[in-house]
Amino acid sequence: MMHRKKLVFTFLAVFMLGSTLGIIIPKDAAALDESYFKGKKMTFLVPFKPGGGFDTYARLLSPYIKKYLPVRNVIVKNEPAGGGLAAMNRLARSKPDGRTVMIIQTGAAVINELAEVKGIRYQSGKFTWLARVTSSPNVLVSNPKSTLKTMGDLQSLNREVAIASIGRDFSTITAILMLKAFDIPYRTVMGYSGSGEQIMAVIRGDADVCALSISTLKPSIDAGELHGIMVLGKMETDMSKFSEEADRLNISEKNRTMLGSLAGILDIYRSIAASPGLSPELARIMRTAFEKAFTDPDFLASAKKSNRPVHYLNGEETQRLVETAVENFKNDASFMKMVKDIFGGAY
Amino acid sequence: MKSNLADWIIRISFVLLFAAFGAFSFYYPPKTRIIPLIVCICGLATALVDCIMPKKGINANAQDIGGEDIVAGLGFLEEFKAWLWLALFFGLVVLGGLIYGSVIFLFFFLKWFWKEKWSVALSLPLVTGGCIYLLFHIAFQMELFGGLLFE
Amino acid sequence: MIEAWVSGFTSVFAPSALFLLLIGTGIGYAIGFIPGLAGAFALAMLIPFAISMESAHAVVFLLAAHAVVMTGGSLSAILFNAPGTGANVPASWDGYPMTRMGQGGRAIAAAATASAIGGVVSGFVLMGLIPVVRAILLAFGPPEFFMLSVMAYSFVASVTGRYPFKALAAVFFGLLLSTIGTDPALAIPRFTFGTFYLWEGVDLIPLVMGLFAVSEMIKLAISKKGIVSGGVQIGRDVFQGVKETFQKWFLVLRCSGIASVIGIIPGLGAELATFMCYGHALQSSKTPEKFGKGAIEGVIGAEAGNNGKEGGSLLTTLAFGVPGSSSMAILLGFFITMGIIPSPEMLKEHLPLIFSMAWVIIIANVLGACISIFAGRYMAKISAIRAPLLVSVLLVVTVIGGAASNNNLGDIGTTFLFGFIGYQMDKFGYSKAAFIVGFVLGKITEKNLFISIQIYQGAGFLLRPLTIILAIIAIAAFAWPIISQKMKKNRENNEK
Repeated sequence: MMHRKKLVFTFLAVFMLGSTLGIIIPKDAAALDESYFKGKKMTFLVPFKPGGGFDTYARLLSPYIKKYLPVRNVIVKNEPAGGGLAAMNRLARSKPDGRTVMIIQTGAAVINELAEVKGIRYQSGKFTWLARVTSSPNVLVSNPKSTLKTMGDLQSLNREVAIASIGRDFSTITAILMLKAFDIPYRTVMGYSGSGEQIMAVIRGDADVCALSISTLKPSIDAGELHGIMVLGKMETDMSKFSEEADRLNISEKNRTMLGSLAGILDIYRSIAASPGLSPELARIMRTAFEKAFTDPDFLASAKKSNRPVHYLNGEETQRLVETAVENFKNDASFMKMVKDIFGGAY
Repeated sequence: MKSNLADWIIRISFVLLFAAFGAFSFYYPPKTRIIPLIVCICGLATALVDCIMPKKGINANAQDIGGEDIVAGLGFLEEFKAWLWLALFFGLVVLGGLIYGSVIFLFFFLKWFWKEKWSVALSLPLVTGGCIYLLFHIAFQMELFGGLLFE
Repeated sequence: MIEAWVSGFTSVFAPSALFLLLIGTGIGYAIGFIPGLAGAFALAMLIPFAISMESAHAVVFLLAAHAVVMTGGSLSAILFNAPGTGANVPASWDGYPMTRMGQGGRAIAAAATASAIGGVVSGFVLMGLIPVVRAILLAFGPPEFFMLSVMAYSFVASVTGRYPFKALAAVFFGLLLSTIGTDPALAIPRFTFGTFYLWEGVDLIPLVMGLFAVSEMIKLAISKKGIVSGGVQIGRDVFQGVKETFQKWFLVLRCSGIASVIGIIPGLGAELATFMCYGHALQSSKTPEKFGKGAIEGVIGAEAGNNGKEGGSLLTTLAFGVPGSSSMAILLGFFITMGIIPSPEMLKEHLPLIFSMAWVIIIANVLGACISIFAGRYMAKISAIRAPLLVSVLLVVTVIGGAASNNNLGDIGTTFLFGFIGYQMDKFGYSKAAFIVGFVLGKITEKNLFISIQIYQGAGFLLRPLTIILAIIAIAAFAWPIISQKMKKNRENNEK
């Protein structure tokens, strides 16, 4: 009898000890906080070359990520191959351990995915979006010396409107979609190497229009070198300078929806995402840290100094906006057709 | 100029190169293919002339810009060994990254190619690797390629 | 105008500005010296420091650094055949042979002096062309850019070397490689063999590092030789290099002038300016056969061209906000922060500011030259370090330099591959200079050709007056070497 009691006792003791130990010794998922990042290295992917806008934001932000997460180091890694698509593939296949983040040109990511460009191995909606960096309304501009001052003027032009473009980059697509929404025939003058050359092309009269982000164009518009025809996307500055023609020209509901979706994407122009499949706790920790970084007054001051506006939006909202945008576009048959036409055969 | 056989191999390689790319260009739409095609046709013509009339237009007194003549008598074996070393360097960098690959390569290169003393073969790679690490990782805050084994 | 000129000058000498100018010059020079770290990379690395400064100081700092990156790059081009940037390549064509003959000091000094004069000239060009820059930029469009790049091909005729048909094959090889990547007409990735890496084409820096530096190191390793066999008094001829450059002042001025004009035009690239200046030096020389073997005129011409284009490039960036290069794009960002909004009005309203920028360029160039000249004496001695150590370390450094900018496996592969190809090209007599010209110019030519065709929806662009003028000049440039050869032969026949 004593022998059996001892056995049971021992068994119970071992069982309880084991369970207690099991609770005390932390498993990763169980007791997760910032200390998870202690001593780890974080890679910050940038889909463009050093010195550009995306790269600058990443470099400005890195010290503040280090401030709010005990990472050993934040390394900015530029990977411009494929116009940034290679970097997005890399993010998609990275381990969901929170150690890889990327600043993404959301519009390009979504559009290329919808166009099913060969070689794409990511899905925008599946990334764990951590924050929005900037929204960037785009402006369709023309030469002030030309007669093209409104969308109506473009419509009544009895030839194709020439768009100065780099290639199949997002600014070109925005310009094309803006024109298509108003049923304006267009052709592209493709091959320019950067926004500067696109602007020169319009000023010189080699092309009729181009569409670029408002921060890029504002200096030229203010100086009177360019005339703003239409703005797409939400703006924080005064809109009275630019004409809003949608109502006046009675564009169709379908096209209105499409422009709305496009504006939605421009609203999250630059955003930061982490690997897909991140656990909710990890996502929460990272989003909180990024929120603190983005609202840090020193960060905001240095961003201002570098002439880089910041429009922070939290991770959950950004995630929702991306997923909604993808959904909206997928359900918009005419938009999908337009995208396939623009990209068709090229890849 | 090196041995006749090697020279002919190179000449024919150029012919094949232009022919191949010229054929590949038909995979693309007309606007995309036109410039490469023109280049390949001209290149093919030039390479063929070079094959058929190898002595044409040789100007022995002309300057030779951008490259000096390879010292005569280097020997095929010597060159081949050098390429093996270069391939080793490449392999080490691909696997171990720019810094580790370079340090390990330097060690082997100094010891077994140049036959340097142990002290040199050990210290110089470490010093070089250290300087590179300081410059890029610390000063520029830029991480160099880490190698397939580590990335 | 004179007041602006003077006040621009004095504001640069304020202690804090001067201090930053010095620091910026030193750092820019050092980064330029490291093989493979090109201009925009240097600026990108300096951005974190610049951000912590006041805007005006940041501009002085960055501008000074940017102005001397080429000067630093010419040092590694001349000493080790490892050009810091694509635009430093021609300097190595004559500078490195000079180093091999133990004349490294003289070459460095000549390069430095020519760079300084080129930079100074470009600073004055910046100041002087302000009233007309807008007119120039509006008149020059893609059709003119196309013609200019065609003109640059005439340079090839001068560098064919011993085997003209092999050189031609090399040019077409370079042209072919330049077509790899996204095509300008339809934005279709071409010859990319299924990789994203090649979407932007073969990158210039790994190509140049491999083709010139790595192949040279392999060459030295195989022949078990160092760069310079010891015994020669190295570094003592530094002041001779300075003197000779001043003696050839007219060549320097001409090349600076050519480069300044090319610099004004955005998108043509730094390499074009330098190649054309080298070509001009070659064609105007009384001893063209010496080029490629250590002709100091080659070094002088190339380096004057290098720094000569900076002033023009800055002017365009300020006049229109259109950066001529990625370095200028970075600078532009800082200008805007300072409240300098590029526009023709700004050129009139902020004249003192623009003049002080020009002075920064001028002074930084002079300083950079001084660094080269005084340090050159000792740096040249590096070339005499014995082969096992020097060649091994340089091999490693140039590979890293080739791969560092983008840091991917593709660039590493490119560097090694072109190390092999460069060696073979030398061995079998295919001109690497011709190849590089084809590669660099190919993209510019095709891009501007297609843009012109798209703008005019046909070949109508060829009828533009400026295009026709440039075409005539281009034909002349092509014909000149042939005509001058014939004239030379006739003269020799008559003398007989």
